[in-house]
Amino acid sequence: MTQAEAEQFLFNEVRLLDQRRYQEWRDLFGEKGLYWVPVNDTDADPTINCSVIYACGQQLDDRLTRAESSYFWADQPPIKSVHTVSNISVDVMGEQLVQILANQVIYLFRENDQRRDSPLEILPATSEYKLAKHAGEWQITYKKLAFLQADGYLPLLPAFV
Amino acid sequence: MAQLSFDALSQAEANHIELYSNPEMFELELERIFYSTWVYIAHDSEIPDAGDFKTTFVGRVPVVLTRDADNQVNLLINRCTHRGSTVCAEERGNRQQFVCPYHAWTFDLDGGLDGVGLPSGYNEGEIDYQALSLQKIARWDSYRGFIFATLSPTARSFDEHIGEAKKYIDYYCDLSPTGKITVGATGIYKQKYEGNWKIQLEGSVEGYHVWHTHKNAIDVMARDVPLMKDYPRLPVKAYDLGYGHNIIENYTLTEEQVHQRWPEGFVDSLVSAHGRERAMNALRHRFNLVIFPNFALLEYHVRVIRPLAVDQTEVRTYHTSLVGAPEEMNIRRVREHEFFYGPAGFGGPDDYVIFDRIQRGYRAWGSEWVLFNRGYKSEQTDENGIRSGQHTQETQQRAPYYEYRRLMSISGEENALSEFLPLAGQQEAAK
Repeated sequence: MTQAEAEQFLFNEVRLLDQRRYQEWRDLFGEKGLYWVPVNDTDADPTINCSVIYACGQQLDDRLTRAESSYFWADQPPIKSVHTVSNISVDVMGEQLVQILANQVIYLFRENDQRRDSPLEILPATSEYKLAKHAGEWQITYKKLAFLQADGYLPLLPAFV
Repeated sequence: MAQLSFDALSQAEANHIELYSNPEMFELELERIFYSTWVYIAHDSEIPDAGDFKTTFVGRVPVVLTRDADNQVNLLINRCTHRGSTVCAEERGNRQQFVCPYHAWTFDLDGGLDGVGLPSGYNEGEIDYQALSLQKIARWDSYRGFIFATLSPTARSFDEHIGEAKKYIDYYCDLSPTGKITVGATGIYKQKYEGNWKIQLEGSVEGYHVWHTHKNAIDVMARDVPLMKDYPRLPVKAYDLGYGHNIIENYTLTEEQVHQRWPEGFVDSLVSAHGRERAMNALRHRFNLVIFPNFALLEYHVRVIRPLAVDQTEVRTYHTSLVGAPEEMNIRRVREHEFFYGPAGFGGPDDYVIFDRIQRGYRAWGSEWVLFNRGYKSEQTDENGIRSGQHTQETQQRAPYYEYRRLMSISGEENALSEFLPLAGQQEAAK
């Protein structure tokens, strides 16, 4: 995977989130891909500590169901997002395996809100991806998104961020 | 404001929106509730070792809880006795002393003033080291590691205060084979909502909303625990425990169900650790407990409510782990807690967005009452005066306001508040 290909992959991945094309985004993770958003110490072991999101397989499917449910009150009216991705570095670990580090800034805004003054939420984050090639397509086997304010106040989040 | 009758604004079956939206009311609540009764501070597992500290707040008062070199716990006002800077800037950590950044006044972890910068500038009689220790909050106490404190010298005894709640704290801690738990070591969600603190107080024991607000979560949970689908029809109750405290039962297992739910080895380990009766109580009971005004104990976490302004509240969710329990059990507690709570959980965010919306609705003058009369007519009172109702009714929402009305109707003078505000005693002593 070249630098340009890695950038295109990430740009596409976050665009799916921004366009709320959640099924396509979820499909990038296949059956085994792990999606991790830590809380507090972003290096703590997620297998024995709580996270904001620690999901794979069925848990991603459940989240997708929630994203599309009319009972997801925290997303009414919907929280829109813009992701910007930068500082991308690619570490090719083999023909079929690559690790990507990137910084992200995620902007969240709830539009069409009666209150009219919804705050613009800004979430700077570091991110780490591991991709593996399956049947000619790159899949996400691991995505870690560590918010700068992981140990501070976090706003209510969409189902996938 | 002083002329207002709290009995008129807070009635048995409804509160006026003034209680939730008037900034003056909020100031009175700080004075008459948060500076007058027992409030939750922390759990002693948060400062396990000598030198550990944790900062928090009593109302707006910044405090620091320390474990000193002699392993004694101290609760100190985090304010330099010279010109007022906080002496500890961090939320948690470990150190031997606190050094004020302004003039190097240096305090030991028991609050003692060890030294000041450029001491020769003080003339004889200008500085009394003894009197200028960090101010201590003398009245703190704990039960099973849960530390509570009060700024008031006249508040009832701690033992009497938490009386009826003790039983439930025992049920909770006895689920650990060592009887010990950790609070927050395995994760803390830190959130704010734009609403009054009492909305979360009421919301921590809310049986009525679960089936509707949390349908997303229940649909998933019911795969493993089918009885969740029947939540509104479960034969469980909610109780007013007195002094504002209350509980809602989530489920109470029969002995047979205990053995279906818990691995045999775990049941045996609790029986051999605590005896059969205590063990079975711990295994059977799941509940949400509220200790008025700022503490709730839920299945997998301690919830701490911190009032910031009349329409702004911080809520911290401290995950709890069972010391000595099988690792897979604690891991399950992590996964189930994180599934529901936190800013991207399947349940918690829906509550907080509703709390925001409730506060906005409180601006509806002309529609000024917040109702909690559900089940008032069928409410039972037992021989000890404990009120109870069905869990989706509102006995538990009514419960805090008996104590609320009592506290709010007491004037500030009677609460002897002045002794604790601007360090008057120490200034006297320093002269």
